[in-house]
Amino acid sequence: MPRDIYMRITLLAAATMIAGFVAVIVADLVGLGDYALYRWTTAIMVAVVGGYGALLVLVVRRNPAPLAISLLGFPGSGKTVFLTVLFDTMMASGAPGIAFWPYGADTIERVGADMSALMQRTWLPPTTPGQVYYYRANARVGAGLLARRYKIEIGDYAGEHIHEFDTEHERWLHKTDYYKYVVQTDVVLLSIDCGTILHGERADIRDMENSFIAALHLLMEHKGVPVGGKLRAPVALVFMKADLARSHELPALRERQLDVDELCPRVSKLVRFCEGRCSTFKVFVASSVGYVDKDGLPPPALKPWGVVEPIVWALRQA
Amino acid sequence: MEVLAWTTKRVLAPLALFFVGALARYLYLGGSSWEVFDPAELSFAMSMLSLLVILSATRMRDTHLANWLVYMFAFAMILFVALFAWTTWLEVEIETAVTGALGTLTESVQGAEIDEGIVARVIEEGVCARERAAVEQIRSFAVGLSLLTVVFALVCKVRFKLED
Repeated sequence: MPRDIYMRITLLAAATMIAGFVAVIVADLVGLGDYALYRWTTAIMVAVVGGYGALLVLVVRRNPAPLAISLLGFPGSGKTVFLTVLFDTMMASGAPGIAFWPYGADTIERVGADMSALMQRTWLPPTTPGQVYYYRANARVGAGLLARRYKIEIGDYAGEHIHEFDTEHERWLHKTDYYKYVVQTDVVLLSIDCGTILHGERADIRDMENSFIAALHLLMEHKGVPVGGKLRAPVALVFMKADLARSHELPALRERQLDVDELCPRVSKLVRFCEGRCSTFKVFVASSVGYVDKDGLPPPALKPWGVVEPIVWALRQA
Repeated sequence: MEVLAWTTKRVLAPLALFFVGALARYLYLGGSSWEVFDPAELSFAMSMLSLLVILSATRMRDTHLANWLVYMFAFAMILFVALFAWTTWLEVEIETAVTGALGTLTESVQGAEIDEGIVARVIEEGVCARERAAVEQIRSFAVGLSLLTVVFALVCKVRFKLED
């Protein structure tokens, strides 16, 4: 909040009061009769109510509704690459019925720099704990009078912060802004690395599911969801790095896109929880870069798929 | 739930003053009338409501939007404070004039039995017609502006997700 706003409010207040006193004194001095005076005051009051009402409509229409989206995921699940490619794709081609334009020098510069790195076949460095980057954009869903406008903000935090929702982890006792950011969010995207669920340890997958469930529980608590009620904020489960599973882990799927039904049973507890406790829930499969080369580096030409769908769905559900 | 909690704290709580006053007058006057709504109480309650919404708006992350909302509700708050002062002053003027005229009349008709209530009402309508009309005008204005401000506060809460 800029400090000078209080000075402006004080000046505005003083000016309004002085104007009111002057108007009354002038009306009295010029000897306006009763009826003439009431005509004047009625005209002024109608003008004030009309002008104020018009200004209110203007403020509501000019300012898009804020939409905070949290992207939860363990370290290395591909959140930063996903956000980079998502913003680049939306900037370049958008989505049907949705106008999307990033704002803020931070967002535009970061997306540009990260895309350059990916196109030079370099993986992005992991986001370290304590670091946070906000990806911001204005979006318009639909057109005309029924168009809905949003100011989107997606925080990219290090995956290690997910343990702030784990009561048995030391991070539970050292909560950061991340915790507050997540519990105040409007849309939740849970990102899961396909590599982990396809050939990771069963215990690790269980830990991951429990962490996500704990985070959703705390979100429900913060949102005041009653016992037996459902979380109204849309929740999406995004299986990241689907290209890895498709090309290396499941050779039989080499010629077709990995199906949601083939992945969901591996995190059945989490899926059951989300289906039962979230009023709006959907599963997506995404690959941020397309087929990864055999050397494990990004391909020379990025061919992402499924990256835009979660955000389009979130915007339509919000 | 969150919207309900916010509305209770920031809208209903300040307006409780106004509703309690209206209820008391309703019981005293023995019937529903436009007069149960006191413009001074309504203006004071609305200025408090505007202040509470301003405090809520200052917690927003989007400072540009927060500034806009603070301006709008500060404007409303100033108007309501002005209306409160104006109405109170008019009420004092009316009471002073009626009491003075009633005293003069009582002295001049010593010995005669008069109904002070009826005489006071006649004096108020005759001597203070201008002030009474101004109070009525302010009442209409305050009610209209209050409805507008309450609706705007609720729209802001839902659309811009004002924090508690």
